[in-house]
Amino acid sequence: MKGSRVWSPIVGVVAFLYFVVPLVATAEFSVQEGPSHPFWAAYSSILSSPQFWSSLRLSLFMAVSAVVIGLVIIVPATYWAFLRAPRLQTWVEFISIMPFVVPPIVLVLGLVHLYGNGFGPLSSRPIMLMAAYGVISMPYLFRSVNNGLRSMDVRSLTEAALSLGSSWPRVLFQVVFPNLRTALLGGTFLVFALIMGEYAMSSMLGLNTFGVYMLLTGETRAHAAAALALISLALVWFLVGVMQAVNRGNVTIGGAR
Amino acid sequence: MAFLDIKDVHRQFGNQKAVDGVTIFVERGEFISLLGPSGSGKTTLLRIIAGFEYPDSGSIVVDGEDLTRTPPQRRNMGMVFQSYALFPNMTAADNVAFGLRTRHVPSAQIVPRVAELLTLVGLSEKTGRYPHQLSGGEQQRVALARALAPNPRVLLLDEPLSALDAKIRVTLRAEIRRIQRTLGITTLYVTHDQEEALAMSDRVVVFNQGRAVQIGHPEDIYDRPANAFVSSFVGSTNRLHVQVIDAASGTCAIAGQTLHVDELPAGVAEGTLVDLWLRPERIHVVDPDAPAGSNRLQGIVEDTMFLGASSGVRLSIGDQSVMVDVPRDSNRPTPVIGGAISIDFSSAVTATMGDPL
Ligand SMILES: Nc1ncnc2c1ncn2[C@@H]1O[C@H](COP(=O)(O)OP(=O)(O)O)[C@@H](O)[C@H]1O
Ligand SMILES: [Mg+2]
Repeated sequence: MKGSRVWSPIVGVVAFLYFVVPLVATAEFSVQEGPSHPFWAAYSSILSSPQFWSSLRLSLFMAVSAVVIGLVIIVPATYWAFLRAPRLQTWVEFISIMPFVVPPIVLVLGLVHLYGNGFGPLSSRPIMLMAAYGVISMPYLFRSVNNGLRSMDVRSLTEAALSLGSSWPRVLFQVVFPNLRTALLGGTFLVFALIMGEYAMSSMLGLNTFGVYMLLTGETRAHAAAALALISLALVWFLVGVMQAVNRGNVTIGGAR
Repeated sequence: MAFLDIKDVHRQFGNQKAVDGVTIFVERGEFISLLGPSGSGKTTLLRIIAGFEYPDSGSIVVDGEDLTRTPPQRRNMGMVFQSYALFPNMTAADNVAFGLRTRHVPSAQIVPRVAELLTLVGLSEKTGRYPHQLSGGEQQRVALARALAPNPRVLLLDEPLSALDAKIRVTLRAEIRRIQRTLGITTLYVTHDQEEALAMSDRVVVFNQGRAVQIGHPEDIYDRPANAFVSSFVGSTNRLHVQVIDAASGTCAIAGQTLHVDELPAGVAEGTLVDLWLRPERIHVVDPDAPAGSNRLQGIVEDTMFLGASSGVRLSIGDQSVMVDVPRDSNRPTPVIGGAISIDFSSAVTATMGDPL
């Protein structure tokens, strides 16, 4: 007891330093481009670069698409497996971690090899990247959805709704999705963070995503790279804030109805 | 044909016979309890009636309509779960309205109907609360109102009170029964609590290992259990192991004393071992000199227990123990441990074929 009271502030301080010192150092470095430049030079060069904005747009679009694919395919599939095939659960879990096991390079090569030619719109590189992102986001969405389902007694809720005359779409949209909201937001956030930083697949497919832009910047302009790292961190915080606002917002909407 | 016919229903999981040929005819407006130990197939049968599970064979017919393969959405049955299963994202009022919205009832009719039902279950003040803002008992009231809102043909309840405190359980079960009577709704009530089943029901179905082993009024189940399982599961009971001396006259022996049984199991012969099932409150402690009633046995007091309104006395007759309820009466001496004691009981006693000791 005594020991922990002595140690906890020390652990706190060490953890604080461990996380904060690199941030402070990065921030300091990012404003020291040289005597001939104003301190915001790195930031203004990035924020005024068209590549920054186009890569950001592309990655955001990709992340949103991956989440939509997840909502349309993975959530109902997870729900179905949970409800109707509890014995397949181990297989579903196995499949869901496959993207961790298969290296991204192999995944993309496989996609290009299979769909590269002759599949019309499916053979376009952005669509292939979108599909690849849909696959790599599967474990994250599956995990959070599965935990969400576990925590809400989804079987009884589904049966209650069915016995009250509800159709399956109504069960999904009025019972399952609303109660999975927190879990879905968590999974969605992970997918966003993953895709905003993803480099290997997009560079293989020759698409200038945010991850590719960050890497190129890091290779050529050190101060700008530090600034970019802080900007992307701010972006993540901004997304977390938005998601929490959405989460709280929905609760009050539910309350007002 | 009754209102709800459950005909020879079988359901097997792997090689586990969860429901093994159950037939029950439920009259319109009747309240029937399915009583049995855990794992005896009550829930499975209820889920088959609700349509969440299909039987391997047999049929479910409501009001002449065969529903055996009808999906639950189109059965119009109300279901109440042990876990309440209220929609956490909806208020009490929205939960109750859910079954009306799915049937596209006009909003103008939904509002008064929801108010009516929440008043019926005594929650008119809490319509705007979310499930997590209600106590367990209140949540189950909402769940009951929700199940009743669309005017279901049959109400199904699966151990609805098991998760609640003893006190709330007793008040809520009286209330469920009152509401059921008010609405005259045909009801199947699953429970493993024999007191609940006996207190609430028009008829009780006792389950064991997937079979309905006895169907009858609560008094029948209690006073005339069909077999050893029912008599030991329902109420507390004594099992006396006796040997038949003369099957024709019903004379049996225990530890050198004789007694008479009105009705012995068919086919017993001299020397057969038989079990007698005696309720503690049907055994009377008597003065050894009093004129003998139907059956009189002598024993030794082994232990006494204070039970509030009565005392429990455990006595031994030979190598067998018997529990007796003795009303507390200051005029009579309390039995003394180690002392002799005489008991009287009727010859109208349930007798079954005994297992070898
Ligand atoms: N979905 C299922 N899969 C496999 N076995 C089951 C399933 N549902 C019930 N059982 C088995 O069937 C038997 C009866 O279960 P149940 O109907 O839940 O009993 P009760 O409600 O009387 O406790 C039990 O042995 C149980 O293990
Ligand atoms: Mg059960």
